[in-house]
Amino acid sequence: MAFPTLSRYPLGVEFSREDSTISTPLEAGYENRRPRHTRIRKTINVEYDLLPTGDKNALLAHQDIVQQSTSFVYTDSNNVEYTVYYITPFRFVEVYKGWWKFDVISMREV
Amino acid sequence: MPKDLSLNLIAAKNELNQDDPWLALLDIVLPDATHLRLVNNTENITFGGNVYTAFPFSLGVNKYESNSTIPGMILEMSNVTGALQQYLEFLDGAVDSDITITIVNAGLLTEDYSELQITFKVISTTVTSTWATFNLGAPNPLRQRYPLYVYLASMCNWVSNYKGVECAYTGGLGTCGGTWDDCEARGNTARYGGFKGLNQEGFKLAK
Repeated sequence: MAFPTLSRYPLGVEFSREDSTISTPLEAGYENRRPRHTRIRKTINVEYDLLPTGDKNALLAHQDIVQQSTSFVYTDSNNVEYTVYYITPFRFVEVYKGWWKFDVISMREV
Repeated sequence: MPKDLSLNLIAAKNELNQDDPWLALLDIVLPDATHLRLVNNTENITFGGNVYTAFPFSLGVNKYESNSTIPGMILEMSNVTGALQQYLEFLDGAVDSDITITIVNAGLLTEDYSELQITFKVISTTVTSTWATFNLGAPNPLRQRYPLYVYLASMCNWVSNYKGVECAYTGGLGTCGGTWDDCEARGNTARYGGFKGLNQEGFKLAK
């Protein structure tokens, strides 16, 4: 089940890459380093400005289904697809009637 | 005792800053002969022609103590999805399964890793909703084959591993009885694993 299509574009989408490197600092001033895994997972943070009630309901309906356990496809503005899951439940406030402000939506690649 | 590693592996091991990760592969042979191949990585790995599925597990430190306890290791595997639960319930905790751990370099998967392999038996198992924990111990030497080979005139030693490395028969016949006649029928007598020169009557023990 893909990330819902909303009526607003995000204010910004932030990508961060997981640091899977292991290192051993040594007294001599250098360190041993090696990667821990072959694939580097990304964390994607999406921030929206105010969203109308319809978009809020679409997001909540989506998270009701996938929760923080089922993976889904998120497609960025360059049509690159990522298989991700939500890291945390949504937190949102009604700024004024019918318009909702969501905290940053955080997703991580499986 | 120093390990006999290939030059490529020694070079990779000794690099200060390494390009590729070292991964732990698990070959789990359950009592019902189910073979599970797992790797603690973020994607699947193909090694030795087999696909090792990415799976979360962690290996504890090898325990060697001076108070006469048997050396062993703790293996913790994720049980969040219940993937292991069905095996453990049907197979009495998979006790007595063989688990072979192989440490490989992801960039050098075609090298010989026989020196970086160790095989354990599952001694006991505990399961929670999040983890399946296996206590691994050394295989029981009393259950190992000794002597390694039996010298018989009329029976092939490789029949238990028909079409294996020693037999190397590649034809279409599906089974073999292990006799000289069977080997002749397959045109494979050059690799017959029996000893036709031995006396075929009675038997003799030698050490």
